[in-house]
Amino acid sequence: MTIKELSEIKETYIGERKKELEEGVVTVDVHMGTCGIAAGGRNVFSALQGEIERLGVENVKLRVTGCAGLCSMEPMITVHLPGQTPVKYGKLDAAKTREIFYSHILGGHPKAEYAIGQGLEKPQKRVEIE
Amino acid sequence: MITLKINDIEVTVPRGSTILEAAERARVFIPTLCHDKRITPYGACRLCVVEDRKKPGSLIPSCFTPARDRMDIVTDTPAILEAVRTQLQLILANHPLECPVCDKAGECTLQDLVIRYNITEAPFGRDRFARYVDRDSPLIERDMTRCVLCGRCVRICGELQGRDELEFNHRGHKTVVATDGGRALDCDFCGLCVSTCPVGALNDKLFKDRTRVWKLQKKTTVCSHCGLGCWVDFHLEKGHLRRITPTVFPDGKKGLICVRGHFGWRAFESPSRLSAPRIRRDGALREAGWGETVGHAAKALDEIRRSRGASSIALLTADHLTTEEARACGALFRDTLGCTDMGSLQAAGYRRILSVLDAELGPTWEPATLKDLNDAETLIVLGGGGAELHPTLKPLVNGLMRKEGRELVVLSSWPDILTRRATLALTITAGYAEDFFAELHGALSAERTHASSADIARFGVDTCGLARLISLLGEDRKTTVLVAPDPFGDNLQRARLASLLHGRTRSILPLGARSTVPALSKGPACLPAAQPRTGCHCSRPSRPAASGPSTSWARTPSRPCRSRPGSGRPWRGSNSSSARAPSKRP
Amino acid sequence: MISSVSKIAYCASRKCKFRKPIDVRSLLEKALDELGYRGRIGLVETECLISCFQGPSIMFLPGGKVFQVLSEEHFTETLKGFFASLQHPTSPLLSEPRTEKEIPGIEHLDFFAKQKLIVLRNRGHIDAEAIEEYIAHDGYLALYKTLTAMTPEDVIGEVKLSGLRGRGGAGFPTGRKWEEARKYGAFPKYVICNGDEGDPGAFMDRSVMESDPHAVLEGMIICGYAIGARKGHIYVRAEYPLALRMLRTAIDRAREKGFLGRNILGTGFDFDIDIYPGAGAFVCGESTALMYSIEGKRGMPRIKPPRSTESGLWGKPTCLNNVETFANVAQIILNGGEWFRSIGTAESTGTKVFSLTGAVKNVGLVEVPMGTDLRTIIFEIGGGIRGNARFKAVQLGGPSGGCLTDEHLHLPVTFDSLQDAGAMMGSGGIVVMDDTNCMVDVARFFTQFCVDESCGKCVPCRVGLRVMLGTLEKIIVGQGEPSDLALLERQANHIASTSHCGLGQAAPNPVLSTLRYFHDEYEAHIREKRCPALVCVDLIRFEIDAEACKHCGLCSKVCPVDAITWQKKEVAVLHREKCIRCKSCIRACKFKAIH
Repeated sequence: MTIKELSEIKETYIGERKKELEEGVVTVDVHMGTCGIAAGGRNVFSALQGEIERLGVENVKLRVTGCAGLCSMEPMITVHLPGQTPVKYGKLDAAKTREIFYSHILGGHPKAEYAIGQGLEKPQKRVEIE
Repeated sequence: MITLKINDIEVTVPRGSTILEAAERARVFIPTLCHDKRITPYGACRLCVVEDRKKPGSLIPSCFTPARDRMDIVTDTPAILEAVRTQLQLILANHPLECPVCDKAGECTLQDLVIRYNITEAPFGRDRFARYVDRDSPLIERDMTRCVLCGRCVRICGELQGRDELEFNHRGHKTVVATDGGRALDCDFCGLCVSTCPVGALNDKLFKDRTRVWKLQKKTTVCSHCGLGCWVDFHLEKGHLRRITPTVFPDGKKGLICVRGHFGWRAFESPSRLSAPRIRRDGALREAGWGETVGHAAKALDEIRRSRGASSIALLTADHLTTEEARACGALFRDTLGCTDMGSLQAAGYRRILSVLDAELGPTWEPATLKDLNDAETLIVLGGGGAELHPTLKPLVNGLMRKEGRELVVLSSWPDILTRRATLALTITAGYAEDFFAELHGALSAERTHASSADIARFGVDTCGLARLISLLGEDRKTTVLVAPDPFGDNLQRARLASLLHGRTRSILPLGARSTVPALSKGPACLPAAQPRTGCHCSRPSRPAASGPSTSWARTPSRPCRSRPGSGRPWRGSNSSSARAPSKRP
Repeated sequence: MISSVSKIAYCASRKCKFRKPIDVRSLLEKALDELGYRGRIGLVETECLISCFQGPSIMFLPGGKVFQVLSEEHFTETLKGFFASLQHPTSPLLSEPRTEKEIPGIEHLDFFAKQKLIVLRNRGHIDAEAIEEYIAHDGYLALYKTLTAMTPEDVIGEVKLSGLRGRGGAGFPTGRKWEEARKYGAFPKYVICNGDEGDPGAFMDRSVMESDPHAVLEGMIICGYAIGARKGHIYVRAEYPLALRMLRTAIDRAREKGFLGRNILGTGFDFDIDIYPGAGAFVCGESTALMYSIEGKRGMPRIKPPRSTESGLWGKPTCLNNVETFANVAQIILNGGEWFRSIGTAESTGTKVFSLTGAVKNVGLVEVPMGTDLRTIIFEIGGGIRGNARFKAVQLGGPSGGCLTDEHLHLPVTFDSLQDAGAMMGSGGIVVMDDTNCMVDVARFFTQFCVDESCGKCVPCRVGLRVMLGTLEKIIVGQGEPSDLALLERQANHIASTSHCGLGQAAPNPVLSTLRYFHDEYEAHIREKRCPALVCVDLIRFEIDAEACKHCGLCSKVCPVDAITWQKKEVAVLHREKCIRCKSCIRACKFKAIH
């Protein structure tokens, strides 16, 4: 593993993400740290997975990440629509998640009543954008 | 060397000493409960706290904190006294008040400290736990309700004896010292745990409920169950032996002991032992007086000598003779009667090794001492069974191996205790031990001019291990060679090998040749060097002419112990073979 | 294009207030039949598509382009027109995103805006199981820099310059510890990561291990290089199964990529890590007890000297650091020690992660520069006390820490600044308490914890803590005597000054600090036999204050044994003989009418 190989991995990753951006892939991060799981995060995840399968949607990518820090609002998800600021949602359950799925993830309209905030925390960035 | 002050007394100690050691040097008392000099410090009881005037306000446990140059320690400030008293009160909160029925009363550290610090109240109440009492194990009774969880028994069994039989179970206030699974004891029964327990939790079953410790007289002597000769204390009540404990040396350190020395004395109370001389008359053995018996024997021996010659007399003695008894015996049979065939069961092997060493190394050679064993960086053991025959070798070697970088090389043909502990074990096929030693001797000596035709595979020795041994011998390491005898074999070759190695190591310790006591310089009683033939068959260590505190020696067993009062005879000796006296009888 | 549409979703939300009474499904079926697509395009029912201000919406899938059904007439033509306009699979917004209210930017939310993330920089942002994501976020660059451009002395120098102090609570300067471990010449040496986070209420380390395990690994490898070790162990408590899994995956991925194992990055440096799960003992978070635990022995702290940097695991030089400490290392190497030093205060550099829990609105993980004051953490980042309660006290550092009151909220939080007030930052647990917490009960809780977790080696902790617990329990059940307060203080001081390890030395802190700041609560328990916070059951009289009672009857409804009788517009009556003292009524009453 040389420095060249290390940056190649990074470049490949960024390349893949850029491609997804162009293809209009929506990334949904489901925060499943232990706090998220304890609060019911698996239900949120399976709700999203279920709807994706049911509808045969192909441009939504689900990712499992760790705790986002605001444990009192778990279960949380962060929705990254290509070209838009990411939105963090909190205190979700399966039904609310489905609503978000249709209105925001597929439809592009963030659902404000479940949202906590938009944007990412300061040092975090989407590598393919910057 | 560093200098520090303890309670304004200046004292100089070697670097690396603890504050507790410095305080002992300065003769300042610091209470301890979980400390035993034979094992590493532990720091559990927190009674030994002191204060450094340069860092006031913080209590330092002195048993493991190293002393530093120019420290200014005080041990008697109000804060320290308060801490010690509170500590004792806390210990007592969990401790049953059973002094009237506890054997330890009178020599109990907890009792002594409570009285010394005048603890008369229980401000923390009483909070006793139901812990088990083990009366099923042989020889040692464990009453865990009295245990103060000092950890000394755990450490002594683990660090010193190497047996790891006792360990803390559970955690916190539920902690209890037990075996794995709570079973009865199944260990070496050396009794080191009993010797270290500061309270009455671990008790000697042979002594239990017999008498009170303040009724005992203590005599320090040397155990004679094996050639190592550990110092022991006999505790006698009106001439009757009640128990044996490892002795306490002048610096406060207790000695080592094994199961034979600790608990084996009862064997000599067996009713089947002879208590008076007997003469066979009319087909039956009848008791007779000493004068009559000796005269009878002398007449008979004389008659045999005259009629059939001295060579028709052979002598067989027990292994427990003292040096002096053996010398007298030898003098009688060898010099007076002219008998040449003398032997004892176990001593043969020791004797053979010694005589070979003397023959090869000349009259001026000095066997090594146990100090050389303790200081060795490499310890080579020739022959198996050393620790089985001399059980205290086990903690001695264990203590040695705990130090950094020590090597234990064992060349034996059976999986004995030392083989299991060895860093380099060369196991020889059974029956080929002596051949292997001869081969090794040939290989190491400068005499060999041609390659050996011996097939190493025959000996079953791992060649890598052998190579390692050769390289260890070549390194600049302090090496001691321990020679263990084969009780049933010839022992010539191992002795020859040992004498060859003497050139390299200058430190050969034939088991049986020395005791833990700095022995007299080659006492004439011990070494058969001058005699070409077998000569003295003693295997006992020479005993120092001046014994410890006691001035009169207990005598050889002359009769079994009678615990019934008023048995009539005045006290003439203890009932153990461990006692020896200058033999007064002809 | 048409072939790209496989399904049409139509909204069937029953909650919708814009819904016109159009049967979308039958409309669609009829239209698709006429266009001949019936077999090829499926119909799916969904929830609200939020685009219906003029009519129900339909959505084409995949892609999600939304159209509105404005009228039923000529629907087939309309549908055909929709298909034709499909050019891009993604749906541009039909109009401005319509929301009921504005979604605030994260930079305006105190919880996020006031934090400064170094350790938690990747939290919630990367998939912890994918090493590529870590690499894409500058992962393992620090390792590369270390192994190819720095000597071990350089690394130690940088860590020393940064002023990083151990984040596990003791705050020993990390650079100095690494320097000491390096100087001893006995091999093999070991690096240990202490992931046994036993403090009740602390979950900082868990979060780092779950969300960003590679950061911990990178820190450990750099430490191994600096001190000359080839082996690392991570000791993770068994109660963190997800952390164990994440770390295991991370180690496997790192090995595959060559960041662990032999000849790392081709530099000839070997280092490997394995994971050792704990077995349920808080005391095994103490470093020497932890090392004994890894060796398979009983977890009890040993005497020092020698220190672990000289003789630790298996008697060899060992460098043991907390998870959070290691997570800082890579950033320090990348950005330099000066950068780290510029954050925080002079004595406590960098940031600290706190787990903020208790009676605050925003419970979670907070990473702030050292020196941030408590008021900011609790009231700005934490959002203040939840419900309509008042701030009473804050406990820092778990069972080792003391509690502080509102007169200390201005104090900055660093390693040394709280000691005069009788508290310490500890490993970073912050528990906020309101007036429904009884401070005597809090002291008892932490003392009970320490009694259960004591290893049992030394007398003051094993016996003393239990005795102290007994005194506290006596007070709580109403048998306290005035002399008990002096007794508590004496016991606590004794345990603190003579215990063998940090557990015992710090265990009396909750008692001592609550005695200092809440003396009146203890007095109330002892002299008045009353618990002001209504927590200690034996000291609650269970009677209803007739003046405060607002006749709502809620208490009567919640009582599980029907011990309260109530009639409309009358004061409720509590029958003590039936009462089981479960406190449901007290919790239910909004007017605090039951004492």
